[in-house]
Amino acid sequence: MTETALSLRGVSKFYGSGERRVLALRDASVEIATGELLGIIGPSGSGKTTFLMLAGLVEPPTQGEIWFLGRKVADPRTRSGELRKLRGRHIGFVFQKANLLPFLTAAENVQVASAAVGRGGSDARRRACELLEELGLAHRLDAYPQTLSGGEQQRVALARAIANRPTLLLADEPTAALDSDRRGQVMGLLSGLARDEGVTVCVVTHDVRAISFFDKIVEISDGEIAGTPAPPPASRDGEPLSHRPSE
Amino acid sequence: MILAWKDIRFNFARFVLAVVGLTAILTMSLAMNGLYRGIVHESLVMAAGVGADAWLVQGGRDGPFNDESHVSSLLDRRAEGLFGVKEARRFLSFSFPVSFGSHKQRLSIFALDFPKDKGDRMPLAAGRYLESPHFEMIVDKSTGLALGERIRIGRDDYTVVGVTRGQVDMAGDGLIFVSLPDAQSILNVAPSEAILLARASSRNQTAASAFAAGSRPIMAVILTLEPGAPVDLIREKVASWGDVTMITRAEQIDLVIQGRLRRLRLQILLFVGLMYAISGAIVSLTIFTIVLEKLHAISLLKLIGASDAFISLWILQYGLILGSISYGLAVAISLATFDLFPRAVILEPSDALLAGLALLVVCAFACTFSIRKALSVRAREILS
Repeated sequence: MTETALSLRGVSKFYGSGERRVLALRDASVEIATGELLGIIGPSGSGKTTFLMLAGLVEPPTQGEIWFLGRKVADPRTRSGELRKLRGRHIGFVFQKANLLPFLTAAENVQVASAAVGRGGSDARRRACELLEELGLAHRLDAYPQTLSGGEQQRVALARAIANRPTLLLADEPTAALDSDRRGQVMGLLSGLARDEGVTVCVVTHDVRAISFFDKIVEISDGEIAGTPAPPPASRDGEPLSHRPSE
Repeated sequence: MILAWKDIRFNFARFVLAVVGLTAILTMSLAMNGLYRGIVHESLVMAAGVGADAWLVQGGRDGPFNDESHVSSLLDRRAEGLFGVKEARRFLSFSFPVSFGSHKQRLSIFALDFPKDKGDRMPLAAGRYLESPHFEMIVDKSTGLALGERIRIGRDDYTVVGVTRGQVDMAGDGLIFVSLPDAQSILNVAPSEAILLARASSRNQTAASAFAAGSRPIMAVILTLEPGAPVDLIREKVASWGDVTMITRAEQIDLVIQGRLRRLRLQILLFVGLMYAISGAIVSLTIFTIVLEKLHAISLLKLIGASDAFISLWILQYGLILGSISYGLAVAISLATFDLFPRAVILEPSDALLAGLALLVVCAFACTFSIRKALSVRAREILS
């Protein structure tokens, strides 16, 4: 039986108060199983990023509860700071922009994820080098971000996201800034993480060509979950996206 | 992983510029502090450096530095008769215009009560102490006179037999040490018109004796006391004479510092305070600006789970590295350049240490302020 990694139960998020209160996400309930590759789709401003923020334990919900690995970890009374440790140890993030620290080399950018949660030292360095080698960046370990191409930067960001062996990996438009070859490569890597490593991966995307990779899709519209359409059958075959027919 | 070092390594030019700016302002602060110390030191060279345990000055006056004082040139003989007094020397010092080389300058002449005092209380850089009661002088190096040089002062020629260092008057001018009779001769140089006027005003005396009688007094008598001498009894006895007041060494120093130097000291101390306040503001602003540039990186670190301590340590380390390197350079520059100033600028170890501690506190404060700003950044900013 598949375990539930993350469960959002009746979760809502509002910003501001009174007349200026803005709804970002209303009454969302989603269960994501361990090792599942979840796609979140929807138009701009629909609440996808808010969903990611709640799922990534970046902020507590205004209403509802968030359960992680069978334990309630956030409700409206939870303070943001309380979630940080859990986030550092169990959750990885990949963004549309790589968001690498400009003053650190590629290896150090990966290593900093471990150092940030108190796991620095030679083991962290070794792990960073191994990950970058696996991602084909063995020759770029000591390169600074501004000397890396967009695809290389995104792979460094991915290595940083998985440096602490996360249970949950959240990706916000990770392929938006990449060409079709690189898009396929990154989606393949995310898919491999879910399939081979058992990492729960949650990807926000606009890219309709990516949905064939997902096990489950959540569609968000106007701050509400509009449905969970079934993904096309040919998901997770590892075939590069660029070779797939457009949907 | 020390993020601060990596940050510095990457933005080295900016760090160097920040260090240069901070070093400059810190050196200025140390110099202003040193100027204050130098003025106090120079003002006390005569008052505290002539081996006086006490001074006998004109009755009711606070002389000879803080006030006028003229006493009889025979007062030293009276003083030597006092119980507990080991030695009494006559004191006379005045400024006098002297021409040497191609220029004319005012020099401070200090009379040594030869043969009791040959100048051997001060260390010599070259030459010897006085051996003759006439026409020999010891000069401070800052006068520009060299050993063996001969110059005319008043109506006589004097030869430099010794050179000393750091012997200056309250204005910072180098001292010339001559015997008391020579100093009195120099002081009594007067044009013939002055002698004629003195003759006319004193019909019962010869012109020479009248002029001499009016011009020969000394300023004070310097007392060296026996160990354990009864200071209060000596003061009481001196007071009973009526024409003289006794001032101890500590009182004399206090008179100079609290009297003549009071306003100047306050002025410089205010500037010292101002400089340190400006330094503190610049240190704070520099660190704060650096932190503002890092808000995006801080937001990312928070998102990936970095603790407040991890982020704070980065900022604190950056501030302390910046502060300590700037401080070290400022002290090194101060030590290397303060001797080149025309007047004494003294860097006391205690002042340097205090400035360092103050900088540490300022850096810590600036970092705390910046850290508060950094920690107020929310992780979600990176997703927005």
